[in-house]
Amino acid sequence: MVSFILRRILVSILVLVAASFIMYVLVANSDNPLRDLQTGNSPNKQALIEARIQQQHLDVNPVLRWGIWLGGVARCVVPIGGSCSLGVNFQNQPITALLPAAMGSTLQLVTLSFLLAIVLGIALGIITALRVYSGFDYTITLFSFFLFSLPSFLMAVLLKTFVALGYNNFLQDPKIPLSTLLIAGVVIGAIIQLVVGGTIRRRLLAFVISGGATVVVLAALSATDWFARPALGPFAVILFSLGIAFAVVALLAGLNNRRAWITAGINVVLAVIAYFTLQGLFNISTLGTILTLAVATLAVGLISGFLVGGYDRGLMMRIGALTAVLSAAVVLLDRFVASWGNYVDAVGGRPLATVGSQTPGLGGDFWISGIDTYTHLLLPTISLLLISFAGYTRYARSGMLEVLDQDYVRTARAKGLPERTVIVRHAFRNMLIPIATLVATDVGALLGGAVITESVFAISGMGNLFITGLTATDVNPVMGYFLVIAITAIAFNFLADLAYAALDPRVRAR
Amino acid sequence: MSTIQGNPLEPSIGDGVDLASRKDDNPGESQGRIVYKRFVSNKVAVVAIIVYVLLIVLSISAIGLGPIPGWWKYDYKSLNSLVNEGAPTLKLFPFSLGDHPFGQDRIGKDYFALTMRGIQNSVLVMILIGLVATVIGVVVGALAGYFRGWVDSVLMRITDVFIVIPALVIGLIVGKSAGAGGLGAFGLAALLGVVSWMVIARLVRSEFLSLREREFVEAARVAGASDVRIIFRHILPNAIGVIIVSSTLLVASAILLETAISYLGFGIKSPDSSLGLLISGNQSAFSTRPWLFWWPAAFIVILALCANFVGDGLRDAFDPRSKRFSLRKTAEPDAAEVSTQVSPTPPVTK
Amino acid sequence: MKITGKRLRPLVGAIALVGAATVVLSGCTTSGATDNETSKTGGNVTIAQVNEVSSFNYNTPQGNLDTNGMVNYLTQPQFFTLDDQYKIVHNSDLGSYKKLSDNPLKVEYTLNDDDKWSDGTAMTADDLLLGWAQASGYYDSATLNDAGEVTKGTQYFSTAAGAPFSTNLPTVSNDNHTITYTYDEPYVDWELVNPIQFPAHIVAKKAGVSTEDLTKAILDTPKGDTAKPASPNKTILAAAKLINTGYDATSLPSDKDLLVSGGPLQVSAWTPKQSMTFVPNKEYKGDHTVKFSKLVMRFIGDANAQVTALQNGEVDAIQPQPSADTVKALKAANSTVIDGSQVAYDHLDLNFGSSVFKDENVRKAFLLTIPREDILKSIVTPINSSAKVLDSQVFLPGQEGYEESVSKNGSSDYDKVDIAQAKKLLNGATPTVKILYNTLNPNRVDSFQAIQASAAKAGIKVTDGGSPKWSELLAGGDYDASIFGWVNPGAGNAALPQLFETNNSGNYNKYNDKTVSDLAVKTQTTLDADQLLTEKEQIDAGTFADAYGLPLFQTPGLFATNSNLKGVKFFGGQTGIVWNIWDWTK
Repeated sequence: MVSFILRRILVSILVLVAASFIMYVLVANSDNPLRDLQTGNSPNKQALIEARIQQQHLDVNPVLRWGIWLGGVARCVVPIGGSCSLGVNFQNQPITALLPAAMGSTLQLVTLSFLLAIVLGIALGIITALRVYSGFDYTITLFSFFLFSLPSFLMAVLLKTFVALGYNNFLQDPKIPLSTLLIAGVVIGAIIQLVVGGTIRRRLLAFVISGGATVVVLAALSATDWFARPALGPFAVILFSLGIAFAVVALLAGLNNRRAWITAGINVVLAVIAYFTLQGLFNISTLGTILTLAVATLAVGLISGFLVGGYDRGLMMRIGALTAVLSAAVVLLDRFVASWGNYVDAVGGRPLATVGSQTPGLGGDFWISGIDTYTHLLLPTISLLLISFAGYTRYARSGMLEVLDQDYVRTARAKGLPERTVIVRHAFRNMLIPIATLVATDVGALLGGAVITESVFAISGMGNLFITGLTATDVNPVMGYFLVIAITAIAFNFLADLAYAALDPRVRAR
Repeated sequence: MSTIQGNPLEPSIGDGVDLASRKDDNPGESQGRIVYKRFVSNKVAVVAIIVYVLLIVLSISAIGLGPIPGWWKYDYKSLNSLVNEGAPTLKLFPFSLGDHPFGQDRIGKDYFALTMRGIQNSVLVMILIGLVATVIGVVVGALAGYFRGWVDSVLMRITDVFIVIPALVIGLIVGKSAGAGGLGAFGLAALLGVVSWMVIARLVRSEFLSLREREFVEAARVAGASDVRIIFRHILPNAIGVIIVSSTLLVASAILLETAISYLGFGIKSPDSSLGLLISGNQSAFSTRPWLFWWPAAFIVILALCANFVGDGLRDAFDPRSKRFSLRKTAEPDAAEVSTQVSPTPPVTK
Repeated sequence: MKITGKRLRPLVGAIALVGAATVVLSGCTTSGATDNETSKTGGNVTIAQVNEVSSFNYNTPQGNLDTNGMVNYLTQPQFFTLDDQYKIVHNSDLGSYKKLSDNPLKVEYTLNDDDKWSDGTAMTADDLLLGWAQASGYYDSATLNDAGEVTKGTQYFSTAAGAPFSTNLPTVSNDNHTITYTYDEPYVDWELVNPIQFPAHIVAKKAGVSTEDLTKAILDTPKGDTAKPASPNKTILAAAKLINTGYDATSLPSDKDLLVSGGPLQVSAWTPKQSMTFVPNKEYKGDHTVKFSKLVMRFIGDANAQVTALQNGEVDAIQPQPSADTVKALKAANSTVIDGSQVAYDHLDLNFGSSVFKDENVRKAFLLTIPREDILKSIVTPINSSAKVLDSQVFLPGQEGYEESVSKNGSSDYDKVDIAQAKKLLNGATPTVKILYNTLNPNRVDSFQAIQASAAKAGIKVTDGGSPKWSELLAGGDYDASIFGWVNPGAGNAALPQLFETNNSGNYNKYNDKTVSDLAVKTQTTLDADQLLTEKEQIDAGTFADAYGLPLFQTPGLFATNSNLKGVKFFGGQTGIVWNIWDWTK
């Protein structure tokens, strides 16, 4: 195993070096790096041109210049003879200083979209597979084909114009007109009845109940001015936590598992107690506090599961942890929502942002800056995740269908296991195997797609570094960008291989 | 590097060509015939291919190609006086085209002609990327898979090198070089093809790795066939399904690549026209003259959707193991999937 | 998770973990209850810029970027500003300057008694001397080879503008508040010399010497001699090194000394890639103090994103890419749109080196076919409805002398397209004209197409010489005419010899008229304003008489603000929207 990993790393480094060579030579030869100066009419033109030639070694052949650049990179890895250097851009800023700031917003954006795309995509894929050849399946499949064919810049522009400006304008007078209420009810009802499926009667019932509930809830929220001053409050927190407990138990253990109910119940009660007791602590919290609390929550969930235990201690611990973390998330959400009003006031009543990744000079506590990040990243994340989301639903759907057709699934069904157990315990894990490889290649697409999203939403991240560098034929920032994304892509490929081995015993055996 | 690099639309591509085993196929028919029959039974894919061809015919006949003029009265370069402040003159009830059915841009160029030119360029880019990438990918994959050993190692490491750089990133760099060199749509498409072959190469390689172990290859070798002959006459025809399917899906992603590059300003440049360029050039007009935005946007989506549907239809047609999806309601959903694990019949050889 | 049987061990571990977590928790909270109220935005002005700040020194080759120029304008002492007619206005907040004599040209700069840098240190003639040392290139003795490497001697301060003037070593008054330049020869743009940029005490500290030592080095080091370079002066070299590269930055310098300001504002925060925040400089006194509490400069690279950001209230003022649609969209969103013309202009130049245009009649005939009014209408009018065709090669509308010069420079001959007259001048000839232009600039493409169509009517065949690499082809001369843009700095006359002097490297169209060429050179040493005006008018008239080419239009410009920001006025010069920031109120 160790020799395998070592060999992989060595090969990866060679691949990286070769790819960097191709990138460097391509970018260096893509255009004339002196154009902006040559077309200018500065009285000191010649001196400016010479200064840039000096600064960027432009009198050296690109291949040799790559050698100089690689030398600088090598010193970052092996600290002998000279300091780490990725070169400077035309403005004499060292790339090593530019990268960290640029990386922050991009990695935040890409990671979030990546995780959401996987979770949502797989979930939706499984549902469509379970409702195969239903109206829901067709709708989602058509929808995913549509998303596949939608350029991400188009999506981004539309989101910005309609969702951001539209929602903010709506907030100026947050009353939903009756016609919109009814349309929303019909749309939600139609979607829910497709998911529920079954007989006409059952569908109709689902349509009426869910559509009606949507209309009532929206109307109530609109009447109470909830959109301007949103709040969850203890009632909603308790209700949501109970819902989570129900879902977790139903999904992982089945509704007639008494121990599972006890485990989930303990954690819901603890979460509600925490909700009432921790508000004071929340007011003075930092990111560190919340992370510590998160670790504690996880521990409490695991311990409660362990203590309730029984014949299936591992399962109980999973249920405990999941319930604890999710209901704690509801408590956190409640606290964020409580700060929403203050945030909206601070940004002049228009919360959804269209540019950048934070409001400059906002100040405020953990909650305010958390909301600020959310309002800035929401739309770019959506437009980025849609790139790969469709792929995951298609993969998960066909993967699930293929697995459900396997002999061991038939055997499991034949011996009388409930459908829930068949899906969650037997099929799910095996369905993930092909997805592990998709995840690896998808990271590259997401990192590339971030270039567009960042450009539309004016987020000054890696994509911006790349585009401005390439526009000016400024090689060093482009190469800085390359290094980060190439290393990320290689690392994810490596992780995917490990995940592959973890999921598929046949691979491990080899 | 993981070795599976499929288009996300692609659940699995079977290694064994196992075409005659489906219930609805007549065992006596040739492979091409079977594939054709299965493909035309997929209504969505057939409609998609018709729409695609119609769009190509429309775009070429409307504004002509090169020196040949089309039937539309304006070309995409000439400036005309603004009619109706540049708003579209298209009317559906009763139907009439008017002077400028799609409207006019800022300086009075006819937007219908610009959009048609954009479709021409986008289609050109799609097809050329598909062709160039397929040829390179097939050659690299075939050599690696057939000869294995050091040839395989070298070629696959080269593939890895290109895969490390995201397609859009290398596309932007290539686009900038093409733009600076004034290569135009043709050069851009060819260069993009040169950097998009990696997925096909990997798929073809794994296909060859498995096919080269089959008896018919062994038989050909014993009969004294040369390597070239075995590769091109014996193995390649059996791998044709994988190749066609993956290049169709590549074509679908190619249009998105081209529009994205042109949108960011590194692709096709004015006065030539591209759907991505039209959107990026008129983005500031989004709230004031939305048609400048919506026409090209609609055609991008239509073209990409068509290519995706055709690709999906082809996969179903070539690969009996894939889970079939069609909008046609199947009475017994499981019927198509029951018979997929039957032992393979001898593959087609020539 | 297997059950090991030793049930106690994990439990103990868990309890220990919870205990540890409590300890960590107490360390991870903020010291006290933070106020839920966040800072009020009232009084904060947010503007958008395309480029991020890359240096606090605008005057180096690598730092010469528009945004850096704005930061310098706001945070460094200025002895003068330009008004919206590009006229020089003395700024007496920090000091005054006056011309003592014409021959030799002597200029005296005096600081006010109570001037202070933002760190409280008084401004003195030491700062003025340092400013002079930087700008004058007095000590340089370097010889450069073709690759720009110094082969001999020493290069001290590297400046984007080079050394446009040369003076003797200035004299300093006894009270150390006044400095006097004595120019080697008359310098037309002497009023555009700002004698102060960086605080000498900070530069000296960073260079590791005392302010006195730095001043002494400046006063004692002899003038550089390229023929016989002396060994470099270490003190000046250290100071130069700091000024050349020490002010380049990617984030807020940890060393606050580098942020010491002598202008109305002072940099207080910089979130890399996002924004830079300025607060008023408390030590700054005078007319140019700002009337708001904070200026936030957001870096928004995408011009379209700037427009949405303004609509969404995320910024208060933008300087977007001018386009008719942007204007419309902004007006629809109730933003205040302020349009005008930039100091840049597009023009058509005829190549005097080409055989087609050897004959003056052909030149005139071709110029008579140029549809300048139509070009203006399609490109500029939708953005700036009051824009007019540009009628001068030397002046811009609004500048002193434009109206006067236009009335007599002969541009009226080309007011209207006159195909009949053009045909008469051509006398049956059908010349072919190849026009070079930038195919990537839609405005140039439009101009080219309009000219092509119009010239055809007179029998002139215009061929497409456009190229994305037009700039490299400009000097080659393989074209008959060219369409491109110049940036006129608004104030100053350095461009005249570049364009009109025979054989000057900036005279791309090989224009060769001895009278005009001599006049262009002469302007550089003309100090009398009236005489300078006459010379410029003569150059202007001369170019039209020679059928040099035609100016087409001034590039339109656009500012837009939210209705609650008041006082923003249009300015076409390089400081852009912040040029009158002291008049802004919110």
